Amino acid sequence: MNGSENSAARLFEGLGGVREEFLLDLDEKSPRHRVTRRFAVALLAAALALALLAFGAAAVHGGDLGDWYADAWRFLTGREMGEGQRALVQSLSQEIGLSQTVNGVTVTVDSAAAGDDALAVLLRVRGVRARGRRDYAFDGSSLDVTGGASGMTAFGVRYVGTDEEGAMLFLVDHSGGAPLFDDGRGSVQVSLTLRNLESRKYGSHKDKTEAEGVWSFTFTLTGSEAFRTLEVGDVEAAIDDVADGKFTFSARDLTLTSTGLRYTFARDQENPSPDQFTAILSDGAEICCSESMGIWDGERFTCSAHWQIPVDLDDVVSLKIGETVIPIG
Amino acid sequence: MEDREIIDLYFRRDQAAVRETDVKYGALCRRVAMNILALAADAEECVNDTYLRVWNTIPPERPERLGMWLCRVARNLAFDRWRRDHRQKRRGGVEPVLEELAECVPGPSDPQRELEGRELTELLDRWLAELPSEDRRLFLRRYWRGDSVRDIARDLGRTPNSITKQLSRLRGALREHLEREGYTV
Repeated sequence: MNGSENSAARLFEGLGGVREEFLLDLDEKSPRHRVTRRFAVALLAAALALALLAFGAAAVHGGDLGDWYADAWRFLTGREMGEGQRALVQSLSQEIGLSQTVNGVTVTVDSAAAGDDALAVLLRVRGVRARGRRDYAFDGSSLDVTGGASGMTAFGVRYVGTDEEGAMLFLVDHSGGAPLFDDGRGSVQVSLTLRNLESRKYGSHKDKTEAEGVWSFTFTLTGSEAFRTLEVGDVEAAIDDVADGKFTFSARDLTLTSTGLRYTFARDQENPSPDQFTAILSDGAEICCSESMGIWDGERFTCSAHWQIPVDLDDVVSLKIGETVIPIG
Repeated sequence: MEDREIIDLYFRRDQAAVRETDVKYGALCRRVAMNILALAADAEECVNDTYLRVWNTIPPERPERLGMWLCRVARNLAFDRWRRDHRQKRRGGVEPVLEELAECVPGPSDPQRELEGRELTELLDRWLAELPSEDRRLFLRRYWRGDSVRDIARDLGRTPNSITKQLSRLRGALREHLEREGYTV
């Protein structure tokens, strides 16, 4: 090691002995993000890709976002989408069809689905050959949504496999703590920027640059009339969580939407992880939430959780929160 | 199983102690070791060495927080191993973390002022205590635990760019702090 590396190594060693109290909450989020939780198993894109990769094949999906949702539905529930569900996904999906080529790599914004407080965008990337047992990601990305209600938001860009022609597919998911549209009406402007495509072998920590460049898109998404909400009211549920243990969860003003649910809860309460919220459909299929986020308004947390896939509320017969089943409708 | 029960198993010299330790803290130790060593096989050996160290240390030790204690042992062993292997070849793991930390090191000064290990840790403790908790967690995830920028960004729902910028700002602040104290490491 040279002198500078030696000094850095001493600094690293010095850090090794810092006060234990600093290390106890490394995975805590800041107060602003305190109730933002992503449930890894339910990160649908990763789950789908990994499940197929485990059998030695890359995840292959065809068509647009609607087809991707159909694949995901089959994977999660073991059955085909019902008519109402198919109609909802079709209604939420919008074709975009914008392409940009930089350094021989073409990124296409294929289609998008916009719901109450969440949206998803399907991207196709051509010009780089996808190899097995590798994860792909953009080194930098940003997503701005303007025109809708403001509030706390989160987004992610995930590699979900390839299409039948070998183009890489990425799913951009954006979720917020406030509705994007006013009663499902109106439109929002979406600006998406992606920078430098990288890959990483499974089990490795080293990234390889596959393509350098910046791809930028701006497009408009409109609200859907198919989108609806369902007020459930105040609820109490028994939770038995692997990480947080057993507790009683009390929420006020719980409202179901096609893309998730919203509720408020008091600061001294525990908040269940998003996978504790499950919509049970008339055919027995179950869809749980994959992430949640919340914001403190000085009195209560307002929390918003999002289904793994948009759900047809007409088909929801009950909501399961932890161990408690609440009949709907 | 509660930490207290696992530690009791060690005190009884019951080998189930190692199994229960692995069930509860194996993933955490592997993550820390993997972040530093980058190779799964090396990380696995390091975790096994950690368990051996624990077996030989408890009793008489009775750590108050078993998980944290294991993490520290795994981190130290992994870094020792990385330094040993590093003499032979350069590779990933903790290397990018050290490259970033090198930016915090002030330029040459009076060699007499070089810090002893404990003194340096106390200086770092004081600096960390002054940081907002969000900054402190971010800094320690990257430079104590060796988590990748991408993983941190993913967990916090932020972009890797914004995490990189915040870390760069924190490294600059640490450098200033070390300079202000008149020390070099």
